[in-house]
Parts: sequence; C-alpha cells; structure tokens
Amino acid sequence: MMNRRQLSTSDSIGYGSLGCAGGLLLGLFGGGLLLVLLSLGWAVVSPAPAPAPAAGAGSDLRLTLSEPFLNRVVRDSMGEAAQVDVLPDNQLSVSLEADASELGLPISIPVMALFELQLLGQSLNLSLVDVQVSGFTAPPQLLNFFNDRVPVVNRNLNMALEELSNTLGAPLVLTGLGTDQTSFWVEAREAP
Amino acid sequence: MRRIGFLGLLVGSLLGLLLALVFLFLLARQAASSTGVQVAAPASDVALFLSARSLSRLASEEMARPLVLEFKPDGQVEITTRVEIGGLEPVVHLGLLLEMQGTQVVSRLQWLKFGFVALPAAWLPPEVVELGARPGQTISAQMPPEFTLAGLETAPDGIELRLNWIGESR
Repeated sequence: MMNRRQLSTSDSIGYGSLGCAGGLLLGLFGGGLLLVLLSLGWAVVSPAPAPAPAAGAGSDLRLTLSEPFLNRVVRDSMGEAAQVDVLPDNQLSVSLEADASELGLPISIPVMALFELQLLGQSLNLSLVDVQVSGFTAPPQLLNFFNDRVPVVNRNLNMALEELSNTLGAPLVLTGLGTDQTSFWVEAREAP
Repeated sequence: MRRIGFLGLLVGSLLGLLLALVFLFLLARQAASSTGVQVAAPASDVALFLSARSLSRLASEEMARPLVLEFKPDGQVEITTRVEIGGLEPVVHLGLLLEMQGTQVVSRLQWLKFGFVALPAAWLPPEVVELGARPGQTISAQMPPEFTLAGLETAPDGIELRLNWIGESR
C-alpha cells in the first residue's frame, strides 16, 4: 500500500515535470512564432508612413557661409588683397588697398566699401551702399570698380542657390537671410 | 496523473511565453541602444542644413515609394517605409547610423523593426544590411568636388553638413 502511494507521488512529479518542460518549449517556440506573426500582422495593418508636415516656421534649407570662406572667394574673384568683414544687419564691408595710378598718384590708398545683402523677390542681391577712401567720398573710378564686380558676385550667389535647388530636385522659396559677426546665412523652403 | 501533466504543460507554456516576451524585449532594447559617437564639428567654411522633410521627399523619389526619414541626435536615422514580404506589405522601420569616415559619410544598418519586433542587423540577410549603406553613399556622391566634408550633425529637424572649401576644380 505504502509503495503504491510512493510510486503514485513520483509519477505525479514526473508527469508534471514532463508537462512543464514540454510547455516551456511550446511557450518559447510557439509563443515566439505567435508573437512574430502578430507583430507582422500589426505591421501590415499599421498606417503607411505619413509625409512629414509642411514646414511652418522652419526652413528646409539653410546655407551658412563663414567670414574666412567669403574672404577666400572674394580674393579669388577680385584678384586683390581684399578683406571682407561680415557685419550685423545684413551688411558686409570690403577693405582693400587700391592702386591710385589711375588717379595719377603713384601710391596705394586704403579703400573701404560697405555692401548690403537683401532678398529681392526670389534672388539674393548684394548692393553697394558706400565707398570711403581714407574717410573721404570715393572718386567715380573707384565706385565703378566695385559696381562692375557686384553683378558677378550676385550671379555667383544666385547660381549657387540654383545648384542647391537642382540637387534637391525642388524649386526653393527664399525665406530669409542674416548675418552676425562671423557668418552670413540664407534660408529657404521648398515651394509648395 | 494526466491532470498534473496538463497543469505542468500549462505552467510551462506560460513560462515559455513569458521568456519569449522577455527575449523579444531584450532584443528590441539591444537593437535600439546602439548609438554612434558624433565628433564635435570644427569650424567650417560652409554649413548646409537640410530638413528631414526635404530628405524624405528626395529619398521617396529615389526609392519610388513613400518613405519617411526621422533624424535623432548622434547620427541616428530612422527610415519608415512599406516593403513587400511574401505578398504582404508591412510597415518596416530601419534604424541607421550615419557617421563620418575620413571625409566620407557612411551609413550602417543597425536594426530592423516591424510591429513590436526589432531585429539587430546581425540577424538580417546581407542584402538588407547592404541597403543600409546606400544613404551614406548617396550623400557622399552629392558632395561638390570643390568641398570636403568636415563635420556632420543630426538633429530632430534634419541634418547639417559642414564643408571646407578645397578650391575650384572646374
């Protein structure tokens, strides 16, 4: 009687352990598979990726040019030892030593030209505000020297923006520009 | 006897399911925890910021399917799109890491997520992992020849590329 009861208890433990081990395997693999299938189903019924909301105040593109870079570009294009200073309020000053031989003087004179950057419609526009020669108003020859070069700079600036627009594959709407003591930036967003 | 075996099966199944859940959770956590190190970008000649919206549109056009890019700090990018798997089109999220290698941008697939299951890149077929390199290759290919990459920074609203001018090459 006693042996039969002992046998019965050890059988119960055996059946229980076997069931538990089987269940563990079933739960691990079956459950894992079930979870993966459920997850796949979830992914199928999930909404398609929504396009990002239209940029409100933010811009899609911002191009920042540093003062040292502007200096190198200006020196390259003007072929002169010119120094560009980026100033607040969208202004730039260009200082250079101009050869005064055209004025009949065998010397170089320090010239400082002040430019303003503006958005004109959908293009960037650099315009000459003032030219000073050692504190005096510049002669017409010097004004022409700068005025002749401004359209080239404007064309280069707008061509760079056009190249960016082509790379992005969308027309750009210029939304702003600005300067601080060290850089100049222009912002744009994609045309709707 | 049978009842105790059935009870064992039930308890085992619940334990197994729980273990499977814990395993999937750990897998998802491991996949999501991989982050890149973004080196502080030095001062550069030119900085170009491109919004996530523009890049999503560009990528959708390139891949000819709706695709949404989300940028996170430390070079992490999440791409969400639908892919065809056995006639089904589940929404799949791809976790990529964008980083600089020298003056090149490289991208690596970190994980793939569908529904609530995330799989690390090591578990994915090589052709899927190779797809993760494409965004980096595309960015590097678009780099103007006059410039070299000096830095790269990702933020929730987009990506900023910092470039140094190496001179006119035209």
